[in-house]
Amino acid sequence: MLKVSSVSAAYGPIRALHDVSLEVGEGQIVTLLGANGAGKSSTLRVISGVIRPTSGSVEFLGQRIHHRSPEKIVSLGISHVPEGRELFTELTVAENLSLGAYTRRDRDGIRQDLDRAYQYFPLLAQRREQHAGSLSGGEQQMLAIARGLMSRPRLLLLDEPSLGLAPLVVKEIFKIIDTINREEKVTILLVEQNASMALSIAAYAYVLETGRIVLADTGSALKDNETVRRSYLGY
Amino acid sequence: MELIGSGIGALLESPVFLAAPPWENPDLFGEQIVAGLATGSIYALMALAIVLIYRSTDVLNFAQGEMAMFGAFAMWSLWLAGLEPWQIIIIGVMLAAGIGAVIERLAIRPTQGAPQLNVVVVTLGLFILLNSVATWVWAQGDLPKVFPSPLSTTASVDIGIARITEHRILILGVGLSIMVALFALFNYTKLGLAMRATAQNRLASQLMGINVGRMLTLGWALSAAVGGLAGLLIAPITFLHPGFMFSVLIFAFAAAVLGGLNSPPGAVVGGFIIGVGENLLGTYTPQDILGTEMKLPLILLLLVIVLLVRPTGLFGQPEARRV
Repeated sequence: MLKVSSVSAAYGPIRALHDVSLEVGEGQIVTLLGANGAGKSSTLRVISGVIRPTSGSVEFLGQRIHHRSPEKIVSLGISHVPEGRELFTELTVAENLSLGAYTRRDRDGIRQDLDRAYQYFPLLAQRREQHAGSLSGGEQQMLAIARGLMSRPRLLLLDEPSLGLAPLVVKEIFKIIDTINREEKVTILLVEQNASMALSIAAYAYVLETGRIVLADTGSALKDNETVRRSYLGY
Repeated sequence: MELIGSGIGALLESPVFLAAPPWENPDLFGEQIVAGLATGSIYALMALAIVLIYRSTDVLNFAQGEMAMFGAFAMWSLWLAGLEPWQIIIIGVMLAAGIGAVIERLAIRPTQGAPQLNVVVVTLGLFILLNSVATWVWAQGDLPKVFPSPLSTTASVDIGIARITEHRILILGVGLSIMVALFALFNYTKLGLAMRATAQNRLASQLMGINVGRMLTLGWALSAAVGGLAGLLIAPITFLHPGFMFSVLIFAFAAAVLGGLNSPPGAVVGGFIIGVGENLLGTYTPQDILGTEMKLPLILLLLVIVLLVRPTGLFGQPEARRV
């Protein structure tokens, strides 16, 4: 479904990605692991069109998309839930969700998806007229995911959904991610620092180090991998 | 020649003697309030223009008044060419919007991401550029130039509580309609929501599929149109000369700061407070103590006080910035 081939990218003179290649198959959950600054977020930004690669290509459903604008890429079916959630904190929960559907024109479909979002996240339904900034961290992450789903994406890019959340909330968020993948048939590319959680739901995983892919294998194989265990799982 | 060369001061029917207090002459008091509301709606429109740009692009646009002045002079040419005042207002607003859009694309966009001071210098440069070009092109012969109004600037109507000139009714009516229209745009339309989203968080807006660049251009166009309209509305009273929007801009800045620089409702309330306050001060204080010359310093004093006591203004939210 998604094919990233030999992508390099840079912020000014600082190179962030070197020759990164990865693939995500239809219906899969694939995870991208790595330390801070390894290039995980940059990879997602290249895919969603926020930064342009200096070389290499990104293909989505057979189309080359790396020269497309972010708004075009959203309407092609990729939704990016960024690191730090990036909610519209002074807008209400309902306004945040309707902005998620900005590229869509089908009013009835949007209304259905809104109802479904509130079913998935009943807490958000109770707070629909509250400012997003007034929500708790876990609720904000749920809103960010719900907003990302409002464009009805085929592929969801999730950047560190567990960041700064209590362990119980993290568990809940991962359960939701798994449900979205299985019931809504949304393919997911998940960036995480919480490697054990990510590997437990991912079919396939890549490990990034200083902008390069250094390991790639199935989730269960990487869980047993000596290096991954020592560097990312901590035992 | 009370109107000539005194800019916004001409708005006041400056009494040479001290006016009777409100309880002795309630009619005069009512008239001053209504006239102040009319002037206030001009300040409110200009303040809204400033706030719209400040919220969406973080730029304090010092050229806002000169953009309106430039548009007003261009419309004056069209009037000489024989167009009707109503046509002039419509074309003028569209021209102002165009100027705003072009300025955003050519002068403001390239400075995004640069230090704040660069943008300040750019808007000051625009101020001087527009002022110089207008002086060069239009400010020949006698100044100021008479500017037409579709209604009379001298004939007055009794609206129950006070008598007010027809043109001031036009100012109030158009001003209030624009404010209601802007409120509806931002609160009840998808475009308005997208503009508010862009003002808050550009990265997230991009990821929602909003064309952020287009929203910024549109924001400048809208703001320039609102400011340009304010200029066209006040020009029949103040008459035209290259500096005729200068004091209006200072009053509008004061209104925007008083209301809160990031609050559109604040800009409106601030505009009305300043407009009415200006009129009452002019009526009830002795002219030899607080003459027309002292109005600008007084307003600047108010600005300083607001910034000291309540930097966010009456309605502004403190801005939280991630560093």
